[in-house]
Amino acid sequence: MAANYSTLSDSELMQRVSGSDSRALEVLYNRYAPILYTIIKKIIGDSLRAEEILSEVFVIIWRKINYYDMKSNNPYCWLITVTRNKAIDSLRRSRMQAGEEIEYNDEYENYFIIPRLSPQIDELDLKTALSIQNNIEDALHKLTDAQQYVIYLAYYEGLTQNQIAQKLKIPPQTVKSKIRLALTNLKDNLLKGGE
Amino acid sequence: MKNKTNEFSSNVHAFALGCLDHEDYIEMLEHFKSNAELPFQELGEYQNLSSLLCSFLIIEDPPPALKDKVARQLYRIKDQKRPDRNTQYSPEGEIKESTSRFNFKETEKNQAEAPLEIKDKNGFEQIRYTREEETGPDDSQVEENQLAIDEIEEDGFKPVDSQFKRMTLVGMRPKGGTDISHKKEIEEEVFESTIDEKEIQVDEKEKYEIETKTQEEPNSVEPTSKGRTEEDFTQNVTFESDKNIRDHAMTLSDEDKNIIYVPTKQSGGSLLTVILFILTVGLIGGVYYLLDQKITLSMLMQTQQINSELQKFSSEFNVKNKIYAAIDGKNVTLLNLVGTRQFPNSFARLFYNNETQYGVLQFGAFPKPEQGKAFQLWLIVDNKFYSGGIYDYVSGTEILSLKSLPVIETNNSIKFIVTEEPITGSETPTGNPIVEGTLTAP
Repeated sequence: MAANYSTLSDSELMQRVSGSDSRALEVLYNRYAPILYTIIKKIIGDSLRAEEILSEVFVIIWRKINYYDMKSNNPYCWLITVTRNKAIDSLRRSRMQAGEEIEYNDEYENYFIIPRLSPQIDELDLKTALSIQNNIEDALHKLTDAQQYVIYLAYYEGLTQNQIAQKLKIPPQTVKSKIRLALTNLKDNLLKGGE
Repeated sequence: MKNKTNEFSSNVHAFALGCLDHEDYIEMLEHFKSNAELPFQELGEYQNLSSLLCSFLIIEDPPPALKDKVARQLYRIKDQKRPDRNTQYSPEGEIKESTSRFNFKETEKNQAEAPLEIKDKNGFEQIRYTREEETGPDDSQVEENQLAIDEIEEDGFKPVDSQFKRMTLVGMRPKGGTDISHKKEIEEEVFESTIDEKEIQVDEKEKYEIETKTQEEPNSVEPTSKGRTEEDFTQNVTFESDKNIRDHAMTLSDEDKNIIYVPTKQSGGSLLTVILFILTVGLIGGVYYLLDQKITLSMLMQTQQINSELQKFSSEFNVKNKIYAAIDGKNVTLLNLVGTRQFPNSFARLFYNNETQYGVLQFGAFPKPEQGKAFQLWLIVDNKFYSGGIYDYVSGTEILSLKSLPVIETNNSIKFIVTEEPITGSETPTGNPIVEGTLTAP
């Protein structure tokens, strides 16, 4: 009896993709392509480049699915992080000057694009993520402007701690503590909002 | 160490947010594998939190054609194998088999663990591996052709491409032969092997003892037992490196000479293995090809379906648009044309805007006309026929645009009929009416 792919969970789809099931990848594409495309476009800004990166991301997913820890049951975080890493990498490369380029090869991809999720990460899928999107938005808006800005620079502009420090003309240690405080508050706000 | 751990713990937030600087990121990954004190629970929470930051963006669908592009890209890599996960960094383990230039901190260690392959002047391949538990021979020993045997660690490297996957060698072996000096440990594997049919043992008296073991009686063969001497060796075995082995054996120490070389060339097992390998590769290639065909075909079919639906929607939109243009006004004529007795299911609707003199005739459930025929609209006033236009049949629900119906000055009723006529049209109706309707006089 043929499986009804549309009813499969994200984790089940990932497992099937791991077994080289192209139909599962197609369903995963249908499910995740919009949000992944949205993230890429938000980071890159250019539609055409965003399309290219999205297609590259799905090639990575297909080829490197074995690096995803099926036990984590967290396909959402893995897929979002792969996509974001890829988009940020593309953005950073576009900022590099001649001579600064780093070769993009398989090893580089394994090291800097494939995410290292914590072995103790909680389960998360797209459906759950979208169900709490309002809570996340509320929690984010409760942060101070400075905290929001630092998160924005890191998350969407792809700036590192030192680059943020240079941009804001503040010590790197201050940036570090701001990021820590921002994420801690965000988590607290989210927990309070969920109560 | 504790300070370092605290530092890494404080970097967990930036790591989760993906904004660690390059060096810090590499150090963090290093720390992952070496330190179990990292707050993994906290890291997991922040990684999830970080991935949720984008969840409230206004989701935008990628272009439908992109799916096809992805399918094509996947098709292009159809022959590529998926890399083994063991080559990847894992928090609990190590970065394995990594030769990455980005694996800065690993380089030294990996080099130490990597097999050294040195060929001596006789064409012997000298392979050395080290292991963590025991002190292996150092480089100077290798240079002096010292032999040793090691066991591969389960999670280590795979230095020799042979059946003896759990055995690793330190020392020298001739080309075409496999060192099986660690006979007791590998005995079983030797018998399982389809390659090793002959063995040559170099004993202390520098004699080669050759044993032939058959696959029919594998258990009766002792790979290292004293067997027939070289003279007794009746089978026509050509051992390419015999002379090399003999010459080389002369230079070996006593310990070295306990090495047993198993010729792997010209054996039926080798041929069988090669054939099996080719068949396996062919099979895998075939499966990959079929899978890629499947994904491409599936995506192409979906794209075609979407295109088809788009065309359908576009066509329907055009129809509605034309009808809307015809009825958008104050002085609009609407007339239903009903099917005649011969065509009871057919119908048509006339929408005509008298101000813009634009109208449409919408056809419904019309029979398919004969080849070379089309439908012609007629206006009949005072027994005179006026053509309203020719409709080249495409489908049963299409419309005929009436840009300008003939101006008829009459106070009498106007009858509308549609007949089947030659595609070039007729001056008067020749076919039977399919639908008809009358616009009564005001």
